[in-house]
Amino acid sequence: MAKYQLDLMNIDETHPGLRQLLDAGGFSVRRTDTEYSRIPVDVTLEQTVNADAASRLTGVTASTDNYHARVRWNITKSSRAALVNEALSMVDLGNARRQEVRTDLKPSRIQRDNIDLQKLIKQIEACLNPFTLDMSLPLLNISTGRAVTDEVSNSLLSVPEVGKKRHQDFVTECKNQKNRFEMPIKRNPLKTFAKMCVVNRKAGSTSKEAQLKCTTQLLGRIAFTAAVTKIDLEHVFSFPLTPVPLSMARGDGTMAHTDKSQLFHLLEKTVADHGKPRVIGTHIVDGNFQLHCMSPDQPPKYGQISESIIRASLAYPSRRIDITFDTYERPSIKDCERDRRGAVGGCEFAIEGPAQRLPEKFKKLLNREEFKRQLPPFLVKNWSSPHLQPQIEGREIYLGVMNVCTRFLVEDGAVTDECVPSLGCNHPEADTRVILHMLHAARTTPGDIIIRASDTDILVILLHHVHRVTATVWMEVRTSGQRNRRYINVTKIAATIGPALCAALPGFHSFTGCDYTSAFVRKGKIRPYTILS
Amino acid sequence: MKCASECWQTYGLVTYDLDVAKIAHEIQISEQPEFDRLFIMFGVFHIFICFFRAIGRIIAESGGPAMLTDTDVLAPGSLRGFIECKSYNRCRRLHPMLALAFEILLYRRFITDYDQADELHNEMKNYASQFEKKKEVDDICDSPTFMEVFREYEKYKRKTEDGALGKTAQFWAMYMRYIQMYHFMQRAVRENNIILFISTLTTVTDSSSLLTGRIIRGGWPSTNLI
Repeated sequence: MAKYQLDLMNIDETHPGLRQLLDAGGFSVRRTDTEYSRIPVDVTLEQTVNADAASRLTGVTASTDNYHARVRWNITKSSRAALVNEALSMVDLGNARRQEVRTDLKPSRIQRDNIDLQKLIKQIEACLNPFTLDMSLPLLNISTGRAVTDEVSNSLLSVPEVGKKRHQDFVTECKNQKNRFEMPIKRNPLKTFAKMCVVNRKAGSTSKEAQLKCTTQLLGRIAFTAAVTKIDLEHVFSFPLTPVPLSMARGDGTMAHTDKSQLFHLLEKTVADHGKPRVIGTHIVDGNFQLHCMSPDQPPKYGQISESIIRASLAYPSRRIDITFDTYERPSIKDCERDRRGAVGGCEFAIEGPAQRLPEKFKKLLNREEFKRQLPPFLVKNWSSPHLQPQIEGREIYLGVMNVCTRFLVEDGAVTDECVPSLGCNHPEADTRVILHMLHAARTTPGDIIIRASDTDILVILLHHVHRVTATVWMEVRTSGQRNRRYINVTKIAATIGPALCAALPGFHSFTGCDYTSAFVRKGKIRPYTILS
Repeated sequence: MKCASECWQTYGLVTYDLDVAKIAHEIQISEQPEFDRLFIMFGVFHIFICFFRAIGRIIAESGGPAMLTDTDVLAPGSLRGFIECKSYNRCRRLHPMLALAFEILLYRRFITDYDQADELHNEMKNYASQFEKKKEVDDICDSPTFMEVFREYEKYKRKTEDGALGKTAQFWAMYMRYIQMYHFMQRAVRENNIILFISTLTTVTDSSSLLTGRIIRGGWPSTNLI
């Protein structure tokens, strides 16, 4: 095309008089009587000569491999096309084949295009309007809101400059080198959105095994070397063999963990019969737990997800429902635990509108920190929309997200959202926020309090605080699908094990290993607990 | 050549698709001076296809095409054909439409930032009432207020292309500019306007040159698309 452009530009010098010919109509073809309806020469060719070649009667190409037959077919193609056209016009079908250049301007087409255009604009606005975004945001996919890496973004945004440069380079190279024109041009490795891949670090045990093997081998190798050559083993063993103590950490340097739920079962068994709550006043729900309880097959849009969350939350029978979410901050004391679970990784994305599509399957997103960071603020925005009014009617929803708690109520037929200052909280973990909500509920709402969570940490913290409320506190554990979903009477457990042990439990739990502290390898929870009690 | 002399023309004009044109050029050079009076033109239709392919590659997976499928403007099964320009007619309809949607959104943003919007609004009302009587649009287009708005909007668009509204906006402004080039080229063909054609060809070649080298020189496997 560079050559073509050069030819066109120098047309007056190389081919004097040709410009007039082109101007007079040699450049494009007009096949109709109307103005402004010229079409390129090759379109004309495709529509006339080649039209028959590409018809269903593909002729000789479909029936023979004979080279000469094909050549003959090609040579006679144009005359055959002329004959076919003539024949068609004889039976009055000639015009039917002629493409009308102005078909786009038919009223029906204009109407259809307009409707489609409006739909498009609406959709873009509902998802992510590129022109109203915050300036500092990186290049985002406007459908999923996922950001691209800097590399891709730079590559895409420099398309005009790079293209220009490559074009010019080619022209100068052709000038300097005689046979450059025939030589191949290197393909440009353009990085586009399609190149974006998701990197997800999985919590596997392979690295740990390799490391541990390495350490045992180390010991064996020392022993072997000591046997062959004379080594003062006493001196060697005066140094630590591993960079981290293996009594408290794993071979790859991460914290040692123990099965927390053992403590949970132990505490649960202290009471023989837990019974069932009678008058339920409040449900307090761990938001992330609720997300995991939901079916993994969720609809593809954020707005629909938001609605399923509210539906699932309102399925609880109580009038007041509290939902608390974790806040994800970095750096955080919980980073080690999150790294272990493989929650980190993947790329940034933004949740802007209800019509926006999820970038991945819901089930996969549950492991993504970014999703859990972005979703709760979106819920706060989305739940005050009027179409949820019939569902919220008669209920009271407290949604604790980030540092604030928002209350959703239906007043005078409209959903209102107001901030509850007394429930404002800067705790990043939902585990401790639950306690705040419990104390608030005990003051304001009569009836039993049920905490919907399945976490040992929550039970431990609850036992520590339960003496501060008069209402009976229950925990409803296990996800919806599991058969052993049951109630645990926290108040009764606290009474059984006594206030002293209750007060000591959080300290004991963190000492023997929780999310932030490493456990003692092969010591577990049960034996330390029996010693303590 | 025989044709040309039969028609009393000094030059023979031929149009090839890009792949054949390259070979034709080579023959022309190696067999000098026999074909000196032959002028080889590139089929604009094939240039369009190349251009759409280049644009398609740039916007693939960017969310824009997903908008088309989400709104049922484009069937999900046809998405690939649209991106790779396997269907010229579909591209010809949808690319300008998508660009127009972005253009309207950008204009809305521009109007909220534009400080003389009230004045413009009054003028619009004024002309609307006049239009009822006269049914002519010419003097509206010539009005200084409108000219000013158009100028300002063009400036605003340039700024967006330079990244004044963030990177996502910059990306789509770039897309809009490319589609505008397509419109220019289409217009050049329809009006037989060679000067306009030459000027737009530079940009088109620039963008296509990113895709593959073959396109710059003029190579694209020819297939029958219509």
